Amino acid sequence: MLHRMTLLVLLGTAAWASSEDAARKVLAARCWACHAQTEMGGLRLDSREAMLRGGKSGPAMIAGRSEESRMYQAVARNKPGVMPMPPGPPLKPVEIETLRKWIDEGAPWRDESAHWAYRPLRSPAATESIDHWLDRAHAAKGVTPNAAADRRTLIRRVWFDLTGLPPSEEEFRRAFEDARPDWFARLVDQLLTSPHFGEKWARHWLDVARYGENDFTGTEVVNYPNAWRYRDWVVEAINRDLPYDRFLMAQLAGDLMDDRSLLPATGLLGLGPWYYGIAQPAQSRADERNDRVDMVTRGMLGVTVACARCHDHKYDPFSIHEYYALAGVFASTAYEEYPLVPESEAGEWRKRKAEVDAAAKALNKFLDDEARALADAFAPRIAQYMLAASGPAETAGLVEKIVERWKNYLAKPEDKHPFLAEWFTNAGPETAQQFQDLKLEINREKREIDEENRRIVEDARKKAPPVERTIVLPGGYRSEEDFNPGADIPAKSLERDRFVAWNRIFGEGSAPLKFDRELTAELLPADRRGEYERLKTAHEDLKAALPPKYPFLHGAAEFTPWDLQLHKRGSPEDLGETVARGFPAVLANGKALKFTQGSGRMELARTVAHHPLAARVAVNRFWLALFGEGIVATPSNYGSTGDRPAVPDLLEYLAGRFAAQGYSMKAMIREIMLSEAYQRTSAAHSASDAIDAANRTFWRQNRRRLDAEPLLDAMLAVSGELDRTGGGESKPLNEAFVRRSLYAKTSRFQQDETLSLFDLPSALVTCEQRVVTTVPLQKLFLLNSGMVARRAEALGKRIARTDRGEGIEAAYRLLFHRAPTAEEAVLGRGFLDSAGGNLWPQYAWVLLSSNEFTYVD
Amino acid sequence: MSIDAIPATVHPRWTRREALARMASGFGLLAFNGLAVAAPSPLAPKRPHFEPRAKRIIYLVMNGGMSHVDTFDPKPMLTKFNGQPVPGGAPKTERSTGNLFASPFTFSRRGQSGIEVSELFPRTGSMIDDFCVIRSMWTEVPNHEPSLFMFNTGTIQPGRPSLGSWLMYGLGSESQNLPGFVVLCPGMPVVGSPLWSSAFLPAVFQGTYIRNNETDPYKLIRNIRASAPPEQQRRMLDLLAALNREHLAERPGDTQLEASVEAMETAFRMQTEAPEAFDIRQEKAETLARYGDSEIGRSCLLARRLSERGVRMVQVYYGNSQPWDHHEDILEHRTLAARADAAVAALVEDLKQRGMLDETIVVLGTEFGRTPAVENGSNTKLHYGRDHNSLGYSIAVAGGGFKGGITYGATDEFGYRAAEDRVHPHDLNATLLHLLGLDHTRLTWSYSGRDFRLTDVHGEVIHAILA
Repeated sequence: MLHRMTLLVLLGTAAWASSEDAARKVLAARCWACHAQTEMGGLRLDSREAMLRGGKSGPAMIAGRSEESRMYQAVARNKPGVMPMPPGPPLKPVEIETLRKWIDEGAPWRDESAHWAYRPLRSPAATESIDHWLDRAHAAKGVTPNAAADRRTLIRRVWFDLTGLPPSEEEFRRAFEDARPDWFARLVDQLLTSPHFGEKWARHWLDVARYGENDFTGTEVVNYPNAWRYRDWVVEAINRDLPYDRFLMAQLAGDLMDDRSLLPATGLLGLGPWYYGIAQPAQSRADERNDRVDMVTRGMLGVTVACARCHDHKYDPFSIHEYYALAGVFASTAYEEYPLVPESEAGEWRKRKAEVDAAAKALNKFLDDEARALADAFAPRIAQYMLAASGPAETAGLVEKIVERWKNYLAKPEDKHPFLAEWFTNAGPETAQQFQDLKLEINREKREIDEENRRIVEDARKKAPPVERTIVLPGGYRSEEDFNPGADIPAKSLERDRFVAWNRIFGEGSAPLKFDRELTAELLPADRRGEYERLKTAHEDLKAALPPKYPFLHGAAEFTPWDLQLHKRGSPEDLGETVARGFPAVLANGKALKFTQGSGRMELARTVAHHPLAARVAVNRFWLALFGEGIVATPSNYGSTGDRPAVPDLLEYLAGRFAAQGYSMKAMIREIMLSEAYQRTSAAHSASDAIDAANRTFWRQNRRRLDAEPLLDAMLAVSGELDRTGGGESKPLNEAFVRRSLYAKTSRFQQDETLSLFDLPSALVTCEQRVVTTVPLQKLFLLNSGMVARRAEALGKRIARTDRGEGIEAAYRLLFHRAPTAEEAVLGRGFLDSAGGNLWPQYAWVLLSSNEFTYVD
Repeated sequence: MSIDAIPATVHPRWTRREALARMASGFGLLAFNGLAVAAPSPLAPKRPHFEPRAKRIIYLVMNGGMSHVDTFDPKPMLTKFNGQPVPGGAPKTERSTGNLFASPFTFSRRGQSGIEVSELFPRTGSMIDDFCVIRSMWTEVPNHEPSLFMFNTGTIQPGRPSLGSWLMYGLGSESQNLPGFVVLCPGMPVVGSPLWSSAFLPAVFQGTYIRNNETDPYKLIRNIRASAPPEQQRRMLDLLAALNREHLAERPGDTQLEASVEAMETAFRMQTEAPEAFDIRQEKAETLARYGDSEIGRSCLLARRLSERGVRMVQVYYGNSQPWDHHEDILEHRTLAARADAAVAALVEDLKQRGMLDETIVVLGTEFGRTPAVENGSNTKLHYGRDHNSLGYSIAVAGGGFKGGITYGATDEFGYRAAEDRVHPHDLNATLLHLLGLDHTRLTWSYSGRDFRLTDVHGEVIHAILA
């Protein structure tokens, strides 16, 4: 083995698992552009069969005989008459060598459909268990697993893993003093029924679900005010141990299931991400569908189908057709808002909202008409105002505010006044009159152009082909109509200098004769006041009487079924054949699986939820949450480029067991925690390290840094400030925020800085696994943030004692559930005894910032 | 600074896992070597693939879309056929456009090289011999967001790591007391933080965004103001260090615990060093004046200060949202360019004067150019502006191993499409990485089933413009 590795290293290629993998990599990189789907010269080089069969020039490969294989001759460029390949730069010697070696080894080519991850689950035998398989793995490797951790460590570990919180002193003591032999199982059972269990485990799922409470359109942020209802549904579903298959089905098709309580789950689809107008509509909608395909296939099934958006998947058996078959399901699904009040009530609210809008529109139209009238009334007095503004002229009968505006305007001669040159050389009645005449003329011209443009737009809209499918996004954003409305209709404008001349007097914000709605209302002629007051009161009354919008869900619903046309090379502008909606064959026992009922979402949901991969992916994510590392180290990729399970039988056992137990998440988590594997110490061990330093066989627990949320939550818990109320609207995570971080606002546009600092993943894409970083900026947060200062202040109060030793003891029991060592007590006392008044908050800060607080053994 | 003194680390488990995943999937040694050997710190300076020409980048973004035909790409034919229909019809851009529209600005030959630059950039024009003007840029989509994503992250959608993050991953940070990748914008550019995201790379590689509307450094950097006097903090940190030592003694060899201790000491030092670096008020009035009393002037000055202190990449967005997006009136370019011109010229002058230009790349970039034809859609009030043009545009680069005083590539006769020696952002990114000593095909990260690169499967280093 060592020899082979060394050889491969010397060859300069990667440490390939096999010559086949190496050959595949070369073929994919250098040959498949022309010799896969494109079949140039009738030749495909993406299956062994096709290579043996060859193309127009005959067989491309003879297994075992590279020198006689045309494909080798072509890349080696060593045979007259065989066209050198590829066109352009030749393969590197190492690549040619890779292909030669692979052919000479008989050109092994695995049947991808037989890949381990696609196989059916097996029913676990009664003799199997987690430790059964791990014992065998350890024995095979010669690793000695660590012993069980002490009770204190276990209690803390279980508390953090199940609830994301430390136990209180009392809770700790109860578990610690429980003399029953099954105390540990009892503790696990107790915590599995805690409402905090769902809060901790919901967050694991929300990473996968790329849960976010807003999106950005490019120019503005669109908030999803009821997003938290989806988050709360996830918490609640986990707390009541909704079977995992139903958990998934509800999120894909809850609107089509018999149980209305599952409706909030469709927030998985309803909450986006939506890309609005950040690119042309066709592109943005295709990107959204791609997100859904990616989230479902990677997040739920651990396969990377989104890689087949532009071309057949290069390593796994997913075709571009299968991608669009799946994307079609999401094209046939619409965003839907579900009111949480009776429809009559929601309808009534919408009716009244429409009345408010109509009243506002009427009021605004009135004011805009009056503004034009005012401009017309003032325009013939431009000269009079200019003179009044520039000298000691008569101002009686003039509006003071307008005079002021003229003064400002004329005070800036440098500021683009193409038609004022004369006035500035010779200010007087004559030049003022000239300027007024010109303005009247331009204003007339502008009116004519506006009217003409209005007709142009109207005509164009009439002639425009009807929008085939009106896709409506959150906030009522209409995919086609709201993307730069009118920008594609050629219209007219004033010539530039005349426009500027108009704009400076009539158009821009502070222009002398710009009558915005406020100023218009102020200057209304007496005979128009009554009408204005009537419209204004009508609007105000309606608006005041309109209650806040009823609660609703951001969810999904059926849309007109739509089979997509294939996007060649992923481009929505370059459409190919129509693909019927369905599911990748390799995941359906090799058979074509078409979806025909409505959008196909319900069929998709059933298929996904009961798929062997869904179970494998789920149990591995549970394992990851409890060990900090998965059995499969690429939790969202079980394909040929992903990790192989470190202990395959263990994964198969867990997946089979999960299905056999009716997909109970709690039962699975409980079983893992009750294993010896989970309960081992996290200590390093040199002999085992030498064999399995990466701990792939889980011979020890992993020491883990608290994630962002448990870290902040634990500070609040020990400082006594934590508000344990569950659920409800999200609030910004600021100093005053004392709830669990799960309830902080989750923005896609701008992630919360504190949580990001401690590695909260982006909500833009489904997260495979959190990474853990340790950087100085995190420590600056500890050092100087108001948030941590508050925690330290509160904790300082909590632990302060007249007898310093007692206070130190109290602190250690509260934070670490142990007594301080003699050395720690001395250090603490030394610190507290130094000059400087009340040092308890500073001492509290030190303990909150310590590694012992941040890392769980 | 030696490797084991580097204060930041990524959890060792994932580096090992990553290494293992690479072995298993067969990409191991093709991937960047620095990671496969499980370096203790992701931010420690790392050896590049080969000898670098440049150490750092200052990347200025004229966000909104700077018109090439009005700045760096003179088009006499456009002037000649002003007001005439586009022969063969105008290519489809975001909005409706009408006839050809000559630049209202005059071009003249500048410097020894005689490169033509418009009147909008007089001072930069006088230094044009330091610049390579690339006149054949092109990108895919005529909308801001996809184009901003493309040059920053190599794809048109959110979710990929940015150039700066790849640099952090590949090279680490020269300064351990300042963030290695800083993004300055007085406000927020369109799209926002996904433009400097580390995406699936560790979060430690993401850009540190500074909304520099203020000049007081304590208002710019979060949590930088020491909450206690130094001697008091020192006492607290000494106790903390002692307790952590006790804790570590029982958990020997755990590098993440050691790294945590180091990170705290670095943070302590940052409290004094970072504010000084970010404080442009310490500059002479004369210097401030040279950069100009403007947002872009202050940003460029700050960029220089940060570069001097070893920040690997400073990206500067001209302003909030998309200030250069002049659909209605291209004359608005004049005001913006005047400020940019002073700032860019002063920046390059200073870098030269300090002997830093040789190892510092300055990019005067934008997400795309603007159409040679006038925009005339019904939603614009005035038709004296230009629509987005992704088919052809210009940028200018200086320093760090680029040849000065040359132009590269060309658009067609009217300036619509990049026609000769076309340069895609992938090519530019490949070239930037190359100058920093990184092979863009080898700077990879295995994620979600395949190796990802900044340049995807594209990108060619443009050797012709390298000194």
